[in-house]
Amino acid sequence: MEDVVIVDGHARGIIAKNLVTGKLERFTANAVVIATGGYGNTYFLSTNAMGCNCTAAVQCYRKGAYMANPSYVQIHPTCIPVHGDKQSKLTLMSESLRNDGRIWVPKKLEDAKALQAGTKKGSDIPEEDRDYYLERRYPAFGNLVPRDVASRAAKERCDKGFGVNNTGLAVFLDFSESINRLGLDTILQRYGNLFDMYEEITDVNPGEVANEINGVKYYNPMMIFPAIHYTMGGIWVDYELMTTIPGLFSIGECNFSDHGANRLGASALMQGLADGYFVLPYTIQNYLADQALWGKVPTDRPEFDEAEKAVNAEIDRLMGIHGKRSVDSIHKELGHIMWEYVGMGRTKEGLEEGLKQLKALREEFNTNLFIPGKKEGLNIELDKAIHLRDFILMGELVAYDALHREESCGGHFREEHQTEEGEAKRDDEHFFYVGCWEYQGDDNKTPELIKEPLEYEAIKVQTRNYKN
Amino acid sequence: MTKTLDSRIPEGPVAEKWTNYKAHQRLVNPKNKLKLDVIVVGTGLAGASAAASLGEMGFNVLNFCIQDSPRRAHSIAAQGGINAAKNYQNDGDSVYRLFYDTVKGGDYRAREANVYRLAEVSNDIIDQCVAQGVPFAREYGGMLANRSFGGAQVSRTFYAKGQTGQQLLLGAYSSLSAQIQLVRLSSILVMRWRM
Amino acid sequence: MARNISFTIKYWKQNGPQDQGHFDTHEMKNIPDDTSFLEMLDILNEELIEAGDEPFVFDHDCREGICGMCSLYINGTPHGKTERGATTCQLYMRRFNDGDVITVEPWRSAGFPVIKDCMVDRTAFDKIIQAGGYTTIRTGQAQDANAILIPKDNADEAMDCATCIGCGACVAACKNGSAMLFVSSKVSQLALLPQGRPEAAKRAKAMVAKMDEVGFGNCTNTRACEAVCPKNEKIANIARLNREFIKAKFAD
Repeated sequence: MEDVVIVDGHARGIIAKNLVTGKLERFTANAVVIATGGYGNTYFLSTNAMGCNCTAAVQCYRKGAYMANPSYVQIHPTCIPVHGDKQSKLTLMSESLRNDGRIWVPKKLEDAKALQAGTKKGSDIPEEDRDYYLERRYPAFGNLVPRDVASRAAKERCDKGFGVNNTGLAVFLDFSESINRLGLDTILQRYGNLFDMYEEITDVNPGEVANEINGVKYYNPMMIFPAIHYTMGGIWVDYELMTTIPGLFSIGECNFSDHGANRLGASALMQGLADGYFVLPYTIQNYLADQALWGKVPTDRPEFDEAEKAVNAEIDRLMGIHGKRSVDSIHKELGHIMWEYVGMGRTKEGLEEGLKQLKALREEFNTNLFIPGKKEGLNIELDKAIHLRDFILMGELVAYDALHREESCGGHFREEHQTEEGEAKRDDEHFFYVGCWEYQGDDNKTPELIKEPLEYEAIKVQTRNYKN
Repeated sequence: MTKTLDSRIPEGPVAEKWTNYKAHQRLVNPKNKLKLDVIVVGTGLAGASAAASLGEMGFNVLNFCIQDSPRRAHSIAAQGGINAAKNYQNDGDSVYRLFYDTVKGGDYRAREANVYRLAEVSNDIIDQCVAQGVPFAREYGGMLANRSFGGAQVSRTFYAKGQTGQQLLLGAYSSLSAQIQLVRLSSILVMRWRM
Repeated sequence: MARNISFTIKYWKQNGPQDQGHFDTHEMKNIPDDTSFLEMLDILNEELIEAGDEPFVFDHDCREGICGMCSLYINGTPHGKTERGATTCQLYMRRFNDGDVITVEPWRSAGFPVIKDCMVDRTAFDKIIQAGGYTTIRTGQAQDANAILIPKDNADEAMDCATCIGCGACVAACKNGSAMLFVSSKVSQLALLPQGRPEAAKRAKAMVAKMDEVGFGNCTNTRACEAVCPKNEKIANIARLNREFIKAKFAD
């Protein structure tokens, strides 16, 4: 909500806020690079850190950068489930666990009910009564199917009533078989710190024998459930990683990146470093080659004045609302709307309802927000409010994009567009493009869709198949 | 009014686009680099590595982060590993296969040219990180270890116990720190600010 | 099944580095014990905001024990020390009991001036890393990653040293306010890897000098740091730094 400053059509600086003193300051440059990460916290509960936000990206969008494919949101299959309504985030358990862990739910519904009621434990259920559903449905990849496939499969089992915890929203990730085969030492060598982390949070140790049935040892299974983790969508960039604003570049998770509709594990780290070390330093030179002739842009230009004035006005507006609700309370509500209507399985009716509720939430934010303290000095609530303002806008973009994209593809699943086996059904004839959204001057106005058609020369486009 | 987007993908077969781009792109001569300012907002893997590399090249870099140190960026939380097409495991990996797996994994909605480039530079990333002292896991023979990840049938993921994100970020953070120390007075790190 | 607990929390309020500071007290009621400590502080802050007061300020971010932001003394120990290394954000209320009085304070060290309440300034740590916690290598210069073999044991040990998250608990626990565990962990990581050898001498000297310059104290081997480190760094790192430092000085 601080700002990128555009002079003669080029990004020439920023207005930044010192978070300790609260003061705004102007910074000038020949090029601006945004590397501020993804928008997962739009859902309030995600694996993101508390400070993660999309404010810089959304402000660039307001100034003319396009937001591309916002509906492609990655839900990570192995996170620690929600345990209560005071939860502040969802902890990720590394995907590498799926190398040796096996995911299962009980075969029998009455076992599931017993697990949900707390009268049975996972280790009470013997091998033959376990449904290793990923191995069953996808023999070629088993537990190592891509994240979107694994997440939807978990949701499918839980929707049918086979969830394994008190909320019915959890499945098991079990190491009994690999511990019995490779020995506890080997498994602890590979995952010891992850097991410790799990135990610290849930008080359950996955490396501990919990039962023995017919001579077979069963260890405490971990409980996991999908959670928002990464955002494939983001600021649109061209081959040179430049946005639609000349001189404004975007790299890392912040841009709509190279992952298409779903990101493979271990690719985010690869993309961040590729962009930063080996791509941008080249491509930015192509832009800057002219700039040495232009010289520095002074910060007393009217564009800097206007930008700083606008930021100040917005801060004053937020501080002046004097409503009754804290930032977190509205943020939690945003999270519920997003998870319910714009989550793993989306429908036309759900998305329309979601958009309606998001607009109402913005109205609530604008009329009922309360920020204690002053704008001078350190004010965490003010900073959170600024982030939330932009999360609400981002939420709408995700919903608009999901509504218009009438197919199922990667991290975007429309219930109306699936195969008989419940797999994603793409529509390459009508949707083989990048969906880019352009700001129309006001947060309440519907954004405009602009398409970048995709063209594949090297790879033959096929239905994604992980069964064989 | 239909607006069009120009992704400015270079001509030629996908495997040659990036090489051709670099051969023909405009460069900034070393003296001029010293006159140019670049603002980088964010100090995660992408931001810190970009700021460090641009600083090394001679640009004046202003790098912002909202936390109290660049090392806090959320990239540190990534646990699993980083992919590269080294084929150290001799199991059939290649730049093309990594490219293919990534496009397929993306459900055929990524931009081919960008993904090919990503696969192409992936090996350089591992070399760079090892040179920075990133403590990747090794096998008994002293070479780098690999594991496999979802969506791939080869073992191409390099990892540092359960902390790959943290170690890679610390590598980029240390390169960034070196730039500040090397008295590139114009390489400035601004912490606890938000753009 | 989670049990609920009610307790008193005394938390440090300080308006700025020059302010004297004081404790505020609040009664927390019916907190489920599977709530994390920081989630409990979120609840505290919601109650304060509802009453029209300013929230209590403390650093936090990832809430999963890896970023090093969270930095609270809880009942007199950094991170509310548990038997296994863990950060403040990994502490759960099941470690406390009904009727407890819980005291929350910032890291207290000359090297970490208070910004507000329990948020402190740890840029001293960044300055130390800037003094030498790196290998000087330009992007794109590196040879093939497998060109230099590194014995698995060295790689594993370097990894153990590298797990330091820069939280500062070591400084907070030390009666001298020494940062030796922090400095030595980074020096150790690079000393154990061939890539770190070319600059090892320069690094040891420069980082130790910077550590002294930014206001941290001297190490007298009390091992308090090792006892509270959430990543289980060992004082063997300090011994290694001392060796590197002496070697470097001899060579001068």
